[in-house]
Amino acid sequence: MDTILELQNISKSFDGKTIIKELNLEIYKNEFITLLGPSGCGKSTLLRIIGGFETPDTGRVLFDGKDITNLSPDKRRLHTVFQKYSLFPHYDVADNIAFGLKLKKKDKAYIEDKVQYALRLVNMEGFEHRKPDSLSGGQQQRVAIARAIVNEPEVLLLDEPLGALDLKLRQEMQRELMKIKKEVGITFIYVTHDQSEALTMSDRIIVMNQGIIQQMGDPKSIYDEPQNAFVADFIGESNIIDGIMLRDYLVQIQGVDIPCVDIGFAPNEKVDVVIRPEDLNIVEPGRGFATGRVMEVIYQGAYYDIRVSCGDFEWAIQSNNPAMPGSMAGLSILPENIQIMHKPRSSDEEIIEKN
Amino acid sequence: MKEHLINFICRFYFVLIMIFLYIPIAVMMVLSVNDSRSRVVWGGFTLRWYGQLLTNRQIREALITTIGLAFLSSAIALLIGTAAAFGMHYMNKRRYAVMMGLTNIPMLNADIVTGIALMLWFIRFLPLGFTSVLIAHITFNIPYIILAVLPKIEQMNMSVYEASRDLGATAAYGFFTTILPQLSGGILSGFFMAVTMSMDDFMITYFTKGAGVNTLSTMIYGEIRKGIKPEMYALSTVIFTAVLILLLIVNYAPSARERAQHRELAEREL
Amino acid sequence: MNRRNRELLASPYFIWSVGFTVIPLIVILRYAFTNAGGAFTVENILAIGDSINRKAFLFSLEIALICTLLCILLAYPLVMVVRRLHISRRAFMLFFLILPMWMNFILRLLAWQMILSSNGILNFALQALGLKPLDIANTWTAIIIGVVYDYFPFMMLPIFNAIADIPEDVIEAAKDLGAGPLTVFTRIIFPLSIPGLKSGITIVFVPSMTSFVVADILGGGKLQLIGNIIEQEFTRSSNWNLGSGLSVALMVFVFISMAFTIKDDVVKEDLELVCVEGTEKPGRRKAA
Repeated sequence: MDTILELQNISKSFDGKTIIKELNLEIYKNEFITLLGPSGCGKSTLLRIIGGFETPDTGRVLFDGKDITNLSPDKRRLHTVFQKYSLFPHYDVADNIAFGLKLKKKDKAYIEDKVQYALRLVNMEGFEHRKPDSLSGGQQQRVAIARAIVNEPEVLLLDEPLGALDLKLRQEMQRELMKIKKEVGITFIYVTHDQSEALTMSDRIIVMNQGIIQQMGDPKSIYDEPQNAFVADFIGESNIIDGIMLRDYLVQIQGVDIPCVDIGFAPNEKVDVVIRPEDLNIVEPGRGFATGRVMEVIYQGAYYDIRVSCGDFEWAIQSNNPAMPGSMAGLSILPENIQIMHKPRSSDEEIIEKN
Repeated sequence: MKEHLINFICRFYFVLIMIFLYIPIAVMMVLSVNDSRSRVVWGGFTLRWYGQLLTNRQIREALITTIGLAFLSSAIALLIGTAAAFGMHYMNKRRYAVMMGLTNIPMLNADIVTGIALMLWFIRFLPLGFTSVLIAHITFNIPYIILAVLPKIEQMNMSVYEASRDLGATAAYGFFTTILPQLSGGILSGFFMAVTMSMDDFMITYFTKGAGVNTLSTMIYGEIRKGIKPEMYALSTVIFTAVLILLLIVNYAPSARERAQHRELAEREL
Repeated sequence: MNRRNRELLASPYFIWSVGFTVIPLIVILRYAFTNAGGAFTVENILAIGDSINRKAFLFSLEIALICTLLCILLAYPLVMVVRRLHISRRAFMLFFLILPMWMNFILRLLAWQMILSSNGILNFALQALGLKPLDIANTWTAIIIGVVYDYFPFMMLPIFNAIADIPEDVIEAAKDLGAGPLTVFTRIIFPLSIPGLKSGITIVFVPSMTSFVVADILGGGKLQLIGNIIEQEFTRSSNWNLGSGLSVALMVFVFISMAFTIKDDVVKEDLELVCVEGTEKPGRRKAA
C-alpha cells in the first residue's frame, strides 16, 4: 500500500504537560483510519498537527514524502471537518461550500457544478440559500463535509464530527460517511472517543492513550485481541482480572486452573486475563471455572446484562437467558475466548493499573 | 523569522497606541505636582495641590455632586431598566420594536440636542438644579442598563427557575436564587457603564444644571478661560489612580480564575 | 404571572420615556417651528442653510467623517493585535486601552492643548530630534486629534467584542480551506465584525459632529462646529427658537444617516425571520 502521510517521532506538550510522546505513524492512501481514545489522549492534537494548526515540538510530518511540518494550513492539500461544524455564519450554504473553490479562482460554472455535486453527495439538495443558523446540527455537519470534500483534498481530517449529534442521527451519519468515503475514494483520518463508531467505520484503528499509541490494527483484531488492559477496557466491555500464567496453555484465576490457548509467557508470570462478557456462559452452580451469586440482571433488549460476584471480583456477562437475582450461578468459558496479556510496564500504564 | 517580524510590528503598534492614549494622562499627572499656577512653567515639585484639595469647598462639593449623581442615577436607572428589560422580553414584536425605538432615541441623538430638549421641557415645571440633572442622567442611563441586561435575559435558562418552583420555591425566592444570579453579569456591567457615562457627561449636565449646581466637568469647563485650578489636576490624578487600583482588583480576580480554567481546559485537551 | 402582567414591568420605563424623551422632543419641535412671537415658521429649520451655519455644519460633517474613518483605521489593527494575545491577557490589555477614559475628558483635552501648542511638548520633542516644529495648535488637525483621542475607545470596544465572538474554529476552517491571513481578514473577520463596526460608527459619528468643547479648547474658538453655533444661540444670543431649529435640523440629519447605517441590518433580520422556523424573535439579536 502507498503511504500518503507519515508522522515521524512527533512530540507535543502544552504548559509543560506532555500530550503526545514520540509518536510514529504511517497512513496509507484511501484508508479509513480512526484515532480512538479517551479525551485528553492526544488524538485531537495529533489531528491538529496534521491539519497544520499546531506545530509539533519534535518530529516531522511528511505528505507524499515531502516535509510539511511547518507549512501553514492554507497551503496543505488536506481539509478538516470540525466537531463544531465551523460554518461561516455570514455565508449561505452554497457560499460556504464554494469558499475554497473561489479562493482557487475557479470559474463560475465549474463552482456551480461542484457545489451541486457536493450537495447531492451529502443529501442536501435545495438548501443552497439557507443560512447555517437555520440548519439543524446534522445538516450543518453535512454542509461542513461538503465544504471540505468539494476541494478534492487527498486527505480528509474529521475531528469528532458526529460528537454533537444524538445517537440515531449519529448512526445514520456513520453510514453516510462510509458511503461518501466509498464515492470520493480519498483517505479519511477520523478522530473519535466512541469505540462503536470506530469499530463500525474504520479500515484501521489506532488506539491512543496518554499520547502513546496503545495498539493499531483492523477493528476485529483490536476487539478480539486487545494487547493490553487499557485497550481491552476501552474497547467494549471487558472483565479484566489478575491471573498467573502457570505454563503454556494453562492460566490460574482466583486459584482455579483454566485451560487457554496462549503460549510464550514466563512460568508463573503475573498476567492480566481479559474475558469479553458475551463469551461467558452461565451454567449450573459448581460447574464451570467459577461459581458466584447473581447480583443484578438488566434486560437490554438483545441480551441480559448479568453481574455475578465471585470472591472479590464481579463478572459481567451478556447472556440470551435471564438468571434469578440472588441465586447461585456457575461460569464457563471456551479456552480460545480467553485473552492473556502481559502486565503493563511503563509508568503511565501502571497508573491505569492502580486505578 | 516572519513570525518574529509580525510580532515586532504588533508590539510596536500597540506601544504607539498606548503612548497616544497615555501622554495626556502623564501631562495631567505632572501638572498636579507642578509648583506653579501656570500650565507652561515648571515651578518645581510640590504636593501642595493635593493638600489644598481637602480644603477647597467648591471642589469638594462638585466631587460629591458628581459621584452622588452617578450612583443615584445609575441605581434608579438600574431598577427601571431591569424591570423594563423583563417586560420587553415578553412583548410581541411590534411592542418590542416601539420600546427599542424609545431606547434608541437618547442613544443615537446628539447629546447637545437631548440636553437642550430636556432643558426646554424642565423650565416649564421644574427649577433647574440637582433634581433636573438627576432626571436627565437617569434618562440617558436607562438605555445602557437595558442594552446590557436584555441579552442576558434572552440567553437565560428559564428551566432553572421552573425547577426551583417545582421544588417548592415561591416566585420571589425562585427569582432571587435562580434568575437574578444569571443576570448579575449584565446588571453589573450595565451599572458600571451607567456610572461611567454619568461621571463623564458634560453636555447634558451643562444644559440641565441651572446656576447653583456643578459637576467636575462643568466646573472645569467654567474655569477654562479663568485658568484651571491646579487642585483639579490633583483631583483627577487621585480619581484616575483610585479607578486604576479598583479596576486592577476587580480585573485581576477573574483573570486568575480564567487562567486556572484555561489550564484545566488544556489538560483536558479540548 | 401571565405574559400580559410581565409586560407591565416595562411600564415605568415607558412612562419615563414618554415624560423625558418624547415630550422634550415635542417641546423642542415646538420651539423650532415657532418664532419669538409664537407664530408658526420654518425659518429656524431652514437657517441651517445660512452661510455661517452651513459652513459650521459642513465643517462638523467633515470632522466627523474623518474622525470616524480614522478611528476605524486605528481600531482594526489594534483589535487584531489584541486578538492574537492569549485570552487571559486580552482582558488586561483591553483594560489599559479603556482606562484613560476615566480621566475627565475636558482635562484630557486641555492636556492635548498643551502638548500641541507652539511651545508645547510635541514641538519640544520634534526639535530635540532635530525636526521642524509643527504649528498644529488651534487648527483643524488639533480638533481631529482631540476627537479621535476621545472616541477611539468607543470604536475599538464594539469591534473587539464582535471579533472576539468569532469562534476560533471558524477561522481555522477558513485557513484549512486555503485562506491566507489577508483572505481570512477580508472574507471572515471583517464581515463578521460589521455589527460591531456599525455600533462603533453610531457611537462615534454623532458626538464628533457636535462636541463643541473640543472645538472650544483645541480649535481656539476660531473654528466652529455646529455644536458651537447651537450652544451660542442658547447661552449668548438667547435665540432659543433658532437654536431649537438648528438642533432639529441636526437631529433629522442624524436620524436619517443612522437609519442608513442600521437599516439593511433590520431588513436582513426580517428576512431571517421568514426562513428560521420556530425562532420567535430573531430581531432581538440586534439588541445585543
